Amino acid sequence: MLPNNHKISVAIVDDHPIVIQGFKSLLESSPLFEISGCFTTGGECINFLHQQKVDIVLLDITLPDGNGVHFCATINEHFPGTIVVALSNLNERSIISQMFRNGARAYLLKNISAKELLDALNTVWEGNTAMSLEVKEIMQQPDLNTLQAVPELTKREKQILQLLAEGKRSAAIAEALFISPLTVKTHRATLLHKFQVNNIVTLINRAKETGLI
Amino acid sequence: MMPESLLTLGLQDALKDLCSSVMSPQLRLVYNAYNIDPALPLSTQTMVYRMVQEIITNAVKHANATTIMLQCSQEEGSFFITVEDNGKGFDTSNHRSEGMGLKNIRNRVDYFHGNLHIESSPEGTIINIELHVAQQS
Repeated sequence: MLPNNHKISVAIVDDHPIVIQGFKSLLESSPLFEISGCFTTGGECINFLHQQKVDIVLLDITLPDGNGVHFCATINEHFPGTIVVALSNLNERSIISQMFRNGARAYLLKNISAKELLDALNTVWEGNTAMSLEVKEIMQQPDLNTLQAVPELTKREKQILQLLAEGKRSAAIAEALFISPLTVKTHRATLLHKFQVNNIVTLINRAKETGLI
Repeated sequence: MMPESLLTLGLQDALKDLCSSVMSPQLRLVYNAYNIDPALPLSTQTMVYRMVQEIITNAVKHANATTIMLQCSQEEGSFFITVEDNGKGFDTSNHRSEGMGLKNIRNRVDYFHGNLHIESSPEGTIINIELHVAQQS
């Protein structure tokens, strides 16, 4: 629980003054929060944090002097005691995960209700992470490309992987599969790419770990 | 009709859009593209796009595939297309029964002095295409 007379200090960063005004009056209506500062650029907010400690920063992503994703990383690095809550209308999965990777503790879309916002701020203040409903839905959707733990291989790639594991050289593989050595070279490059490794030994180890060979 | 994404974003993204557009709860598509040169002539990109479109259409309409894997990659002047599906396959020994679609693909492969290799069984079809896309200077 909070100490009796300590309010949670909040800074708001958004490029639209009218949006700031909205969040400000909402938070001021709650006895738990006090507004330390409102900024229309990320730079101003960072400068302010150097002078005064703030508990929570409500951070927009589209800002005139840069990207909230980077400001989030900066705040997280220099002011570890400050909690970043991303508040944006960007609903791309890649941006959301990047924000969390850069240390944000919550990601909220601007279509949330007042109650949802206050609940989320309480949640992060208690040390948990928060996502608004729509953000949760976005993050729960399967993503073909990022969620693949094991890369999907074509039949030809499986054959080549097997022959590589047997220690065969490209020329011998080309002969065995009736394809040109250049084609083998391309398949090798693709395999390295798919497993995100940079040499054949690591490739074969990784393939063994994942049970492909 | 030329797909807009091919003109504005290039082959790699246009193929991605193509895959997204045929994807459905009954049809899963895996698309991988590696090393595709964005500077390929538009005519070449269009030819590749049409071939892929034809192959995928065949897999969906005629083979009733539920999973299709499309992979395109490039190594200097060679362009590789692989399409694998789990559909019911077709008889590759009978060229007479081939439809216009496959004939068109053969023609385009010949145009690029490429190779077309088809392996088909009741468990599915694998099509490997290698094209020579080096620019004549």
